[in-house]
Amino acid sequence: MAAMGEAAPEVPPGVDPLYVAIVRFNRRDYGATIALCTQLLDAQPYDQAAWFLKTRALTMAVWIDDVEVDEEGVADALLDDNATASMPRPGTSLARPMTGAAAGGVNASVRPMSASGRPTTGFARPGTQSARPGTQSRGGTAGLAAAMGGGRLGTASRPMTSFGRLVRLGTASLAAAASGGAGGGPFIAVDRLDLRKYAERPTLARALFDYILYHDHNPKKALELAALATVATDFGEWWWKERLGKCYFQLGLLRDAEKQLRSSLAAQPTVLATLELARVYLRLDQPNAALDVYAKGADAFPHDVSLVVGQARTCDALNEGGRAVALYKRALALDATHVESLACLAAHHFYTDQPELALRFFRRLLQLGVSSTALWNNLALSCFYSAQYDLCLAAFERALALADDGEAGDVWYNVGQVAIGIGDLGLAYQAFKVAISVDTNHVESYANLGVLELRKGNLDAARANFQTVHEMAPHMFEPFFNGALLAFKLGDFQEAHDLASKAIGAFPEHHDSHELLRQLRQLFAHL
Amino acid sequence: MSAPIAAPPQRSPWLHAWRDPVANLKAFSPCMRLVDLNGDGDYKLIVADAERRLKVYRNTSLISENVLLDTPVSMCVTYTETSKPRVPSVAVASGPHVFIYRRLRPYYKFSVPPTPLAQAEANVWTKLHSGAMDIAEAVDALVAARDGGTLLTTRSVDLINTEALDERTALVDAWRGAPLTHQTVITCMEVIRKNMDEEDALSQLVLGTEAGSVLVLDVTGVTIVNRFQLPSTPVYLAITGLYDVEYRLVCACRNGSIYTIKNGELSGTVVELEAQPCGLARIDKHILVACMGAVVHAYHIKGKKSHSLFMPAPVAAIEVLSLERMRSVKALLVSLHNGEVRLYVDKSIIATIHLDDPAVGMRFGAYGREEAALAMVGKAGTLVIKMLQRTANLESSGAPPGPPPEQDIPLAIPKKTRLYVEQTQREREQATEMHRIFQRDLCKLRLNTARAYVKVLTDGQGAQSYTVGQSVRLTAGVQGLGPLFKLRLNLQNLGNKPVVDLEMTFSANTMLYKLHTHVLQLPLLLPSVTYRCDCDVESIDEAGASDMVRVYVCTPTSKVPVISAVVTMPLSEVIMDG
Repeated sequence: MAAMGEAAPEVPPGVDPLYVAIVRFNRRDYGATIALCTQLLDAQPYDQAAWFLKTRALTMAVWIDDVEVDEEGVADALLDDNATASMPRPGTSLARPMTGAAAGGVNASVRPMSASGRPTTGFARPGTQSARPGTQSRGGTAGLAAAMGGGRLGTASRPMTSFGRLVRLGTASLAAAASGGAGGGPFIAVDRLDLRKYAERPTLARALFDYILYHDHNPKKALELAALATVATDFGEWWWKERLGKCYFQLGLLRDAEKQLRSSLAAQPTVLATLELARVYLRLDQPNAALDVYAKGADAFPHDVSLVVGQARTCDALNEGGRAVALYKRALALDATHVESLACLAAHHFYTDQPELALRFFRRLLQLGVSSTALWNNLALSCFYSAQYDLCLAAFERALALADDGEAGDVWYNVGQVAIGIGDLGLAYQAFKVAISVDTNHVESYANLGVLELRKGNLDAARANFQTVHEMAPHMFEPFFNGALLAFKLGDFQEAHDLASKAIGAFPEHHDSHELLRQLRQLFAHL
Repeated sequence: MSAPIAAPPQRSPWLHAWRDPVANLKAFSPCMRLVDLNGDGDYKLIVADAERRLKVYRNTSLISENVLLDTPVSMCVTYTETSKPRVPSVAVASGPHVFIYRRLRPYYKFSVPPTPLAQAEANVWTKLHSGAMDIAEAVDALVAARDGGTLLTTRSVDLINTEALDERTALVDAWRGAPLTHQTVITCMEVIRKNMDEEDALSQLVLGTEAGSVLVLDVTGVTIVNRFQLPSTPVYLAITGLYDVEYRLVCACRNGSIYTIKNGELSGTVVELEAQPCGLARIDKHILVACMGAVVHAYHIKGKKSHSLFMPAPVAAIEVLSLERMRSVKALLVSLHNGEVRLYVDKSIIATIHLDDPAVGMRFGAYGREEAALAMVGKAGTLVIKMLQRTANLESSGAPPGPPPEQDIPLAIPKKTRLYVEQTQREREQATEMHRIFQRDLCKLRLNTARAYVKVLTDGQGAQSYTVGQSVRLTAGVQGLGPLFKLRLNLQNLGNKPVVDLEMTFSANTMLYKLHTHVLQLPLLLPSVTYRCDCDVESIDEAGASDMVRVYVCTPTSKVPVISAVVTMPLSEVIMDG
């Protein structure tokens, strides 16, 4: 991002400074553009060209692709008044991911589940880690607490409302923008503008609109302008309708947004409007409608990756892994460097017992220049499971070196996992302990530590570890089952029954839990 | 009217006749009978409802409803006279009485005679009322008598079960002067035909009582003609034979044993069940008993076990399907708590009905002019009537039970890729090299891990402490949308000794957060009890920026904290104006 308030560059003699500014703008040197335009405007306050360019530059300097980064805020989800059915039909809602046609497709014992009850994705996206409130059987306050907790307990990184986050993104740029104006104030005081006047000038109005929405983050005002502008163009301009839709979406008026975007698409099919319409449907918890929109868009724009990936993500969220994999492959055919598709395919192959293929994909990611803790960690695991032992531990070393506090827990956990794989339980024990110390809420480590303590014969410690996981991660079935087994062996049948039932709740097809419950029922019935 | 049958794999032998989802019946199998009430060949369903109603259904309507005097336990139909037309009496057992109705009018009442009192118990009560024994002594004596095998009166049982002394005194005072009697109650009732094996032949009532006795009444139901004492309370009776010729009473008892009374004698063969019985039926030479634990056992009449039928859900009721006139078929109907009603011939399942409301009461017999109908009362009060198709194939398929055909279909295991083969090739060729590198890296990793572990042990970082010989765990979470947050901290002592003298302190960036508490004095931490403490944190940054709050648990003896936790605060929601 360009630095704000930087000095205006030298303009060679005989060259129009506006021309220089335009060139700088095209080079994305927004700071210089702004400085040049400021100079021009100081000399001639009514220079429309300079005003336009400065508006564009200011907008572009803080522009973010809001179609990609959308995350449903906690408050948005909790206070959702668009929900149509409290118990939607199977396979039609993101809130009930395990109910679709492919519900049996992915086995929780093979691929771990996230707190939202879906198999973990290969690529951390907004909303893939945390639970949507009110999902599954956890009702009321439990769902609420889970939603507030973010991905992991105690690491609440989730925004409360998506609009609030946009505003916060805005405030960061506000201070800098203050210097853009002449007298230290903002460049455009939107509140004092006569929007009606601007609405009649299509070019200026568009620049101004983007400025209000992306720079000021004031969708209410932007909406006003867009409404006036559509009226001025006799409701015929698809661009304004698309922007109206965006404003309505930011304001949470989803049905209005849907109407505007549909109208815009009817006038002129565009990728952006398609993506936004699909996003509206996803927010309305109508994934199938979103898939339809994506599919139609993909027919019109067969070479656009974002539409294919959008479909793949939605399929992932609906837990239709097979469809998602096919779509990711299509995305890769369109764009061979698509990182998300690579990562998701790698994860898919890893969990379908083909770590050697996963290794290929991870190596491809590495070649693309991605170098993150997660990637090295996954590379190490793929190496280990595809028997490339010489590369495995070196990759872990890298991952540990790269890891920050948030990720180190996961890496240590995986070190522990590999240690269990090679039978070095002492190393595993230490690694899990370290993982817990780095990440207080690393539930998987607690769960494995419980099993190790059990092997050592420390029943109380094992039970305490299991209990910790039961509280922190009610979506994991293994600790419940382990706890049940422990209670069963200790003769506490009631406890065993409770825990095994919870394990079934988390993973209905878990055969061992069913078997344990069957034994328990027989014991209860016996005289 | 919707038929609640899910399409079975083959044609169901059942025809749907009628369903009343709001019949609101509360009855189990013993309180339901299909009977020709007026002797005109038109069979009706009578139900002794637990809401003290005697309801009569004819075809698809409720034709009469009479009030019962008490909650019924069982209902039977007997023929007491030889006159024509053959009009039966309806006997309803409730409490210690059997009320006999003729043409749905009260006709006669039989009461089970009181059981003789145990001498020990009578003595205790005499002494108690005369003041020779105080209440505590009396209770001890009664408990001793009970443990000694004496069957106590309800009065004594009540006294033992009352806890508070003043309540006991009140009870004793209330009973003062009233004579002590031991009135038993009826638990089950069936009929036995006197001398002719026909449906409308003269029949006698057989009663099982709480005191463990089985009483056979005469045809008129006035006098007891035979009395048997069982070791336990009978709960289900299954009767075959004729009283005057040869008969067998099979009694499933509450102690989980099945006793047989043969021609006036308690037979020595006792079937001991693994679980409590919850249904009893007889088909030819087999006793079928449904047990808790979703299983139906079949025993030969001599007591030898023949086979078991395992059910997917607990059994709610069982009933015999028996066709005699057109063809001779005997089959077993099993109603399960998951809503299935299964039809078994021998060991093989013939058909399954799926009901929305699991049937807790079932009767098979003639209904209306249909010879083979099944009436079912659901748990939620639904009444369902099904008819057996006359052409229904009730032969067991005879296919040998074995592994299902699906077992031979191979699983779709992904093939090993070429890449895998290449990699294994590499592994084979460079095995020594790989092993050497792996061992070297492993040594390094072990060292690194050990270092990190030692650091964890010594500097009190992390959620679990080992430093000062105590093992304490701290978990932290944040609640709230902001600007006000609440830190929720859970402390648990994992050791086996209590921990004292701990303090908890908080530290955060004071530019961003205002802490409402800085130091918390922790109470004595008992082993494995979770203690919860809260701390209010207020975000004072205008932009709602977020930071970490550190939580330390310290002891006065060490400068290293026992435990520390880092709580990453969420972004605070900014308060917006307008």
